[in-house]
Amino acid sequence: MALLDESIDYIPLETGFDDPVYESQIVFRKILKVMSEPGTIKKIKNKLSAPAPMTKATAAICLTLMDFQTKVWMDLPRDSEASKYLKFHTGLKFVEHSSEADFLVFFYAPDEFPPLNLGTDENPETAATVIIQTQSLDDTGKLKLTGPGIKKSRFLNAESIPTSLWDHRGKANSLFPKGIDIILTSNKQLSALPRTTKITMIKTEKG
Amino acid sequence: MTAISGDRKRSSRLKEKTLDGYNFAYLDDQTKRMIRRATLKAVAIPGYQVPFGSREMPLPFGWGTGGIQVTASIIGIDDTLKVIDQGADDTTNAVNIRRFFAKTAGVETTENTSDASIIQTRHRIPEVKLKSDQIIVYQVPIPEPLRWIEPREQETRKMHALTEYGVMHVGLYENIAHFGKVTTSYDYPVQVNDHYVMSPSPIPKFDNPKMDKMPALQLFGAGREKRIYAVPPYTKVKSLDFDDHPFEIESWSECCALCGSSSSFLDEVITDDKGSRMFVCSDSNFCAERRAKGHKGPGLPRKLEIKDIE
Repeated sequence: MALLDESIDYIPLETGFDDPVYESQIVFRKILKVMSEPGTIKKIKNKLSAPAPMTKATAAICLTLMDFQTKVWMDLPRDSEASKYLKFHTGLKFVEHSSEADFLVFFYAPDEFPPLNLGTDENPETAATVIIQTQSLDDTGKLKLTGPGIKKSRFLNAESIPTSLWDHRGKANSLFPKGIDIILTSNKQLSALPRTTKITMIKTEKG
Repeated sequence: MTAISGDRKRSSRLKEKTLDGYNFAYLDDQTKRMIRRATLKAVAIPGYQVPFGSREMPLPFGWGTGGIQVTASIIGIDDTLKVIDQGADDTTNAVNIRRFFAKTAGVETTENTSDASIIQTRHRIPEVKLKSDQIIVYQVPIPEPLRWIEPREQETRKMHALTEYGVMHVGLYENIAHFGKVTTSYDYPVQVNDHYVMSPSPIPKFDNPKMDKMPALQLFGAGREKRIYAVPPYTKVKSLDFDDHPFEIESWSECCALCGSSSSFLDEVITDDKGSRMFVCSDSNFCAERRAKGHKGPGLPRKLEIKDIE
């Protein structure tokens, strides 16, 4: 298998967690919080450094959730600094085709998702988790969120994500229990949109 | 680089407070990552049972190993843990699990519901309303509510996928036909977010309404059956019922003999072999707090007449 041929002959300059046990627990609780209360924004305070274009939050989430058991697809070439960094620190498996991946990491939000695993009706938990790095995250509007984990409604604005991607997500999630779970990051911030969250686009005056 | 030395200080505190030679919170980090990934999927699909690689724990399956593994994967040094067994903080299972995490994770433990950031429970939900930012971890023996009706996993999976739950209502209907009411008193099935029917673990049905739109995150761990499931905060949890036989909870004609509460779940305590009994709060912390505030119950058990029992 091609995956096994990848020996690590490269040691990245950028550091991972200083204390993996302690730090990954803190990061996990933040991921758990944003996943169970979609649209809330949390901030990573870890001291790790990540190679561009990877931001701290993206790196921290990957280091917390990925290991040799997870198949990962990224929108960067395999020999990019970010890929090598994650391979070195987590031992994850990179896959060629996006549809095979447990985790997809987008450093640049696409117009539409590539083919990806939505799980099956009987085993919806096998669906991929998508991590998208955005330019900024705030609660000023544009997206009105409702669903489990949200008392009435919550607002979220994820800069640089095209409307077509939300439409694509909506279509995929209409197949519930199959669907896409998304973690959004921006610099040190993170937020999440599990498949149960309904998004309504708020039309602003600017359009 | 003060922040890094701050982190170092924390990790040395971690070392000082936890048992030498053991992983933080007992489980190794690889196992925790696997459980964490399963937990995130469980949260994303409310009420769906996510399979996970349940590990052998230093106590037998059936003693809360599922709940312990979930707690071990989420707990951090800054957490405050409360553990209850049938509502009480001072029974064997609760005391041991609390001590287990105090030793292996060095966390603070408490009996006070409001002070806890994580509450692990066997078969009760505390009387005090849980808050946002709290996490309640249930120990689950049998996670599959359809298992009593359909033994085949392949079939129950399909039934869940298609929201095919008619057979659950048949069970309740048979109950009503026989006894005039639904006699299931604990582990009363609920439907989460209008999709998955879920076992709430063997909590009394008295506690079912507390699950609905609860501000705290609810996580469920079944160690022997190797399943994790979850209900995110503010999620609709509806107990199964019929329009003409709406869901009802238990009520008592007595109040708590110690604190006089008439709104809490009461345990019946037999006090002699001549029919004397008293009713006391099952939630020991709730009862103690009320007594500390000066509430008083009728006290000594009253002797029941034979006609009362009949």
